[in-house]
Formats: sequence, structure tokens, C-alpha cells
Amino acid sequence: MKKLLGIALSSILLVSQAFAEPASTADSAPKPDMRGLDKQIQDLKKDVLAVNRDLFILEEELLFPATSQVAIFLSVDVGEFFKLDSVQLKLNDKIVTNYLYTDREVDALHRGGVQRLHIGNLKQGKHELIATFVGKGPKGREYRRGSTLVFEKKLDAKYVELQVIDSASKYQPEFKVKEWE
Amino acid sequence: MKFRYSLALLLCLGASLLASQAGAEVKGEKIVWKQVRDLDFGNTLYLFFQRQYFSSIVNLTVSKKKLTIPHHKQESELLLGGMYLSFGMHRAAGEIFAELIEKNAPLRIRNRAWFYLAKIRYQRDLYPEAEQAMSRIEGKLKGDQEKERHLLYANILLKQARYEDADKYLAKIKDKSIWSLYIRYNLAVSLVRQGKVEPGHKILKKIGKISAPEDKELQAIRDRANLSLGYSFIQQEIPEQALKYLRRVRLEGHLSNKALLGLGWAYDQQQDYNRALAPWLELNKRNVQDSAVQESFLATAYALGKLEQNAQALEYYKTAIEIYGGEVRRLEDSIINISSGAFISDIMQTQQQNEMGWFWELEQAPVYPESNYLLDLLASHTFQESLKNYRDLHLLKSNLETWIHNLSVFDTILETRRNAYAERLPVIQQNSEKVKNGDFQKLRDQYEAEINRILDTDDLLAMANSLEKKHLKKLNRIQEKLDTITLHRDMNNAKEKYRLLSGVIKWRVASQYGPRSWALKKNIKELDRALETYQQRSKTILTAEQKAPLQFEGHGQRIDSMRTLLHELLARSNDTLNEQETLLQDLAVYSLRQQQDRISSYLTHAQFSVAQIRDLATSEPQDDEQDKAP
Repeated sequence: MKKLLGIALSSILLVSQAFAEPASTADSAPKPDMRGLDKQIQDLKKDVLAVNRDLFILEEELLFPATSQVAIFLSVDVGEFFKLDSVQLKLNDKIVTNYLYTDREVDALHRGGVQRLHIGNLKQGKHELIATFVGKGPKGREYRRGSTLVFEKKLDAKYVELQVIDSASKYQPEFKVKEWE
Repeated sequence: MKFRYSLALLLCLGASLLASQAGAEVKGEKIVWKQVRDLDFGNTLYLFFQRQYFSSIVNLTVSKKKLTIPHHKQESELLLGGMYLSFGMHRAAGEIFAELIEKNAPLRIRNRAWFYLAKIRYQRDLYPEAEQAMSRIEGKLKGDQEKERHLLYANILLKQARYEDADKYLAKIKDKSIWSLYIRYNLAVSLVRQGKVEPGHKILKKIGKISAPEDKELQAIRDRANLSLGYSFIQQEIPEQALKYLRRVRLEGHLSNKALLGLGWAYDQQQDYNRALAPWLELNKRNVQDSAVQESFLATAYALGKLEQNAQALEYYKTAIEIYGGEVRRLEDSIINISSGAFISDIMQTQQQNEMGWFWELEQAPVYPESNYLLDLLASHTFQESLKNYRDLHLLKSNLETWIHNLSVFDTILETRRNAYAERLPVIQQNSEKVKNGDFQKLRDQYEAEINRILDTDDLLAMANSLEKKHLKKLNRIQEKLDTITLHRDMNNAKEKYRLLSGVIKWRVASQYGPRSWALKKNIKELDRALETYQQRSKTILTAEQKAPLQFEGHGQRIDSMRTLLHELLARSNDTLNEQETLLQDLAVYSLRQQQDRISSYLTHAQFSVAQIRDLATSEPQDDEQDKAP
């Protein structure tokens, strides 16, 4: 019966070890060139990422050449006075984006992330952008605000940033539009 | 069934790297970036904060290539290294960190780079090299990373079997986190295994006494410490102590089966077989796939034998044989099932298909008859890593297939552009010719000359608008008719009306001479501007006209070479996916075979005991008869 006890003891200690740190009986399994396979996977990941990079650049060149490219970004400040639910974008009175936000996306925005809300093509010249923000304002009230920008599209790609900023002095959110050169 | 892979709870590497950056600050458990100076960098953060590691890496590398993140060069390098780690690319991450060190980045960055190099080396089992990297960190790291650094160092010492150093180091850092407890626990188990029972027990006893009224993780590690102490005392044949610690293990915890089994063995050492039977009989009612429950059948029969209840013991041995035989067959069926590939694909189906990164873990195992036997395997580091690789390979495969489909769309776009270009080319060339020959300029000059004539000669009627001109034309026709009719009739009234109406129009034109002559001059200026713009644009159009065929060709070539590359990569990912699937199956089969061997040894033991009891039973009457013989 000592032998039986031996089996029990070794299994307990092994299992205990396994839970304390992720290593268990499975980790003592024969590893059929796991390192070789791991290297193979890492090399493949690197190559797939590189081809994705090149394809995204090619796609942008084909679909949105710089001469006509317009990209609209959105950033959110602290977000104390405004919880974003959705945004609608109109370019020259035509709706180009209607975006509903998930909690995860709102969180990413509050942490400093900047969303590329729209990318499209416009002719050179003057254009009008209208952004409508919908969400919960101070004290959880329904809040709907718009911002307008008339901008000039030149030969280079045009970047516009919509900013939702907390105004501590007014206890209200502010909606700003910034043109990037 | 829920699995918890404790070390995976460490903050995401990329996120903790981010926390070390100048623009970042930590709010609660979250890292917040305060100053985004390039939109594309902010966009990478947006994807990264949503744990879309694949997309955020691609986004960042695209921005780097397009040179659109000039203000975040250094942070983006370090962030990229962290994202590579989050996506399980240790090598690429290592290269970035090594490069940062070589470039002699600021101390803050170098420290982070050394720290993560140490971490990568530790994960790759390169312990002396990891220690060497740790020694290059100067001063303290920021916030929680300093704590993490200490724990990593203690782990490195432990992995090199430098238990005393690890013990002293842990005592020095006075860390009370759960991670520190895990390391201390591992240290204690290692010491006990090395025969250094006293120091090992000392640590286990401390962990076994921690107060954890609510925290399930703390309760679990406390149970583990008490269980290990109990079994260690059984091994040393000190049953009183063993009983003391085994009784501390919670009855509702997942270690209760092992604790009950141990309690029985401790009573056995006290030769109190009646008391030993109580926990073992309780175990008999539980799930037979649990190793402690399986062992309890054998143990029950053994105790009954010790109590000289051989008939009952025989029954228990028979039950045990039946159960073990059934489990061995069940495991054999499972092995066949796993080898067919169904198990791995079912595991993947229970998981969310997204790009959660290297810290994703298997939350839900598919419910199978063999699931209980695979709990340890599914929680193991090797299996989890292999599963992550397998899941990532699926992600790569589907990404490549999507791009292959999209390339045909690119072909169509390019073809449409080529056709549109071919249609517009004659018009473009015609207009270019006009610009070149000065045709537009000539027209403009004619227009200016006419305006000058109108102004110089005070040709008021030339300034009439189209309606006025129409009315004047009508009046002229009326005048002609009046002249003809007058020869026969008196048309004075009509003539007076004509005079009045033409006078009104002439007066209107004359009264607006000022604004109209100003408008004409303005028109000339606008015409000049339009001509200038057109001439400039025609230069661009001419350049575009020359470049377009080359661009079409260039894009066409790029699409073709990308297509070839994508097909090559898809073939590679399919091959690797198959290899990885085989590896996972082998790991599962190996684990089940081990357990099958264990149960088979129980089976042999039970069969042997049955034979022994039967031998005893058959030999006893013979002895009696011999005794009775004269």
C-alpha cells in the first residue's frame, strides 16, 4: 500500500505545483520540436503583418489617393460631462457616417485613443462638414450637439479632428473641430 | 468549467510598457495617454486599447512607413515591441528592445527594454541570460513595474534552483501580492522536494494561515498550502500534523477530494481504519473521473481488508475493477476521438474568434466525457501557449483569405480607372493642345477688346442683359413693321408706344452703366484667374497623363506580386496550422495515456488483491481440513 500512497503524493505535489505556476504534468510531455514550430509561427506572423502593411498602403493609394483624400478623426477628452452614444457625419449635406459606439470603444477613446471615423474622397475646393454628437450630458440628460466646419481641400490629404472636450468652467462638454496640416 | 491561468492575469505587456511612457499616466487599473500629437499614433492607441493587437500593429507599421508619426518615434518603437509581445511574437519584440538598447535610448526607455528582454528570456527558459538582463536595469522602475521586476527576479532565482537566494530575496522585498504568494508557494514546494522540509514548511504554514474571507484566489492558494503540508507530513509519517493541516482545507473547494483522500491516509498511519473509511466512503460517491475518487475505491477495499472484512473488501475490489476497466475504455475512446481532430476544433468553437492577443485564455472547455481528465492539461502553460498559436494561425489564415478576395476588387478598380482614363484622354489631350496653342488666351483677349470697345464708344446697348436684348430685338421688329404700315394708315399712337418702350429699356441700361461696366471689368479679372488656375491644372493634368499609365502598371504589378505572396503565405499558414493541430492532439493524447497508465496500475493492484483474497479464502478451509486430519 506504500506504493499506492506514493502515487497519491506525487500526483498531489505535481498538481499543486501546476496551479501555483502554469506548469503541470502536461508541461513534462514530450515536446515534438515545439521551438521549431514556435519559430515557424513567429516568422509567419511577421510576414503576414508585413504583407498587411503593404496591402493597406496599396489599398489607400488606390481608393483614397492623397490628392482627394479626406479623413475625419474623433477624440474624446476626460468624458465626465458627456458619454458618447453615436456620431453622424455629413459632408456637403450628404450623410457619410452614422456610428454607434460600444462601451469598449468609448473606453478606448477616453484613454486617449483617436478613432478614424471616416475616410473618403473630395474634390479640391471648399466643403462643409457637419458632425452631430448624441449621448448623455451632465446629470445623465439626453444630449445632442452639432459642430460645423467649412474647410478647403487642397492638393494634399486633408485631416480633420473632431474633439469632445470637458469644459470644467462651464460643467458642460465642448465640441471642437481642428484642421490638421 | 472555468479555467484560470494565473500568470495571464498580469497586466498586458504592451499596456504596461505604455505606462512607462512620458505621455501616459495610470488611472486606477487603466493606462491613459494624455498627449497625442499625431493622429495616426492616436488611432493605433484606439485599436490597441480595444486589444485589437493584430490591427494595431498593422496600423502602427503603416504609419511608420508613411512617416505620419514624427512626434512619437521613440514611444511607437517601444509600444510596437509591447504589441509584438501581446501577439506572441517574442523574437520580433526582442529585436526591437535590443535595438533600443543599442541606440542608447534614454535611461527610462533602456530600463524598460532590459526588463522586457529579461522577461522574454525567462519565458524562453533562458534563466542566466534573463538574470543578466535584469542586472542591467539602473535604479528603480516606475510604479507597479518595480514590483513586477522583483517578482520576476525571484522567479528567475527559483528556476535556477537557487532556493536560499530566492527565499532571502522574497523576504527582503516584503511583497504581499498574490503573485508573491504564488512564488513563495512554489519555493516552498521546491524546498520540500529537495528534502529541505523545515524551511519549506515554514513558508507553507505562513501561507496556510492567511486570512481570506472573500478572496477566492487567496482561499485557493491557502487550501493548496495546507494540502501540501498535509501530504508532506503523511510522507514523513507524522499523521497528527497531517490531520491538522488537511482539516483546514475547505470542504467546498476543488481540492476537497484530495484532502479527503489524504485524511484517510493519515488515519491509516494511525492504524485507525474505521476513521479512515469515513472520508474514503464519502469520496466513493463523487465523480469517478477524479483521481482521488478513483484511488478511494482501492483505499476503501484496503481498509476493509485491514478490518478483516474480506468479503466486503472483495466486493469493493470488484467494484474498483469494474470502474477502472470502464475508465480505461472510456479513455481509449477519448484518445481515438481526439486523434480524429474533433476535440481541437470543438475547443475553438467555444471561443470568441477575435484578436484578443497573447493574454487570451481558454475560458470554457467543450463538455466531453473526457473533459475532467483534461483539466490539468487545459490549464497548463504548454497547452495554453499552443492553443494561442493555433488560434492565431486561424486568424492569419482568415486574414489572408480576405485579402486574396479583396485583391480581385483591386483589379476591378484598376480596370475601371484604366477605362475611364482611356475615355477621358482625348478630351484631356484636346484641351492640353488648346492651352499649348494659346487658344483660350486668344478668346480671352478678344473678350477684353470687345469690352474696351464698349466702354470707349459708350455702346450702352451692348451692355444690355439678355432679356433687355430680347425686348430690344422685338422692338426693332415692331419698328420695321410700323414703318411699312404707316404708308397706309396713321400709326401715331403705336409709334408713341414704341418710342416710350424703347426709351424705357435704353434708360434702364444707361442708368446701370456704372455697375454693368464694373461687372464687365470684374468678369475679365475672374477670367484671368480661371485661366491661370486652368493653366496650372493643365500642367498637373499633363503630368498625371504621362504618369497614369506608369501608375496603372505599377499598381498592377504590385497587385500581382501581392497575390503571389498571399498564396504562398496561405499555403504556409495551412501547413503550420496542421502541424499545430497535431501538436495539440499529441499533448492531449499524451495526457490521457498518462492517466490511463495510472488507472491501469490501480486495476492491476485491485486484480492482484482480489486474487490474494481468493487465495486466502481457498487456502483457509484446506488448512482446517489438514488440522482435522489425523
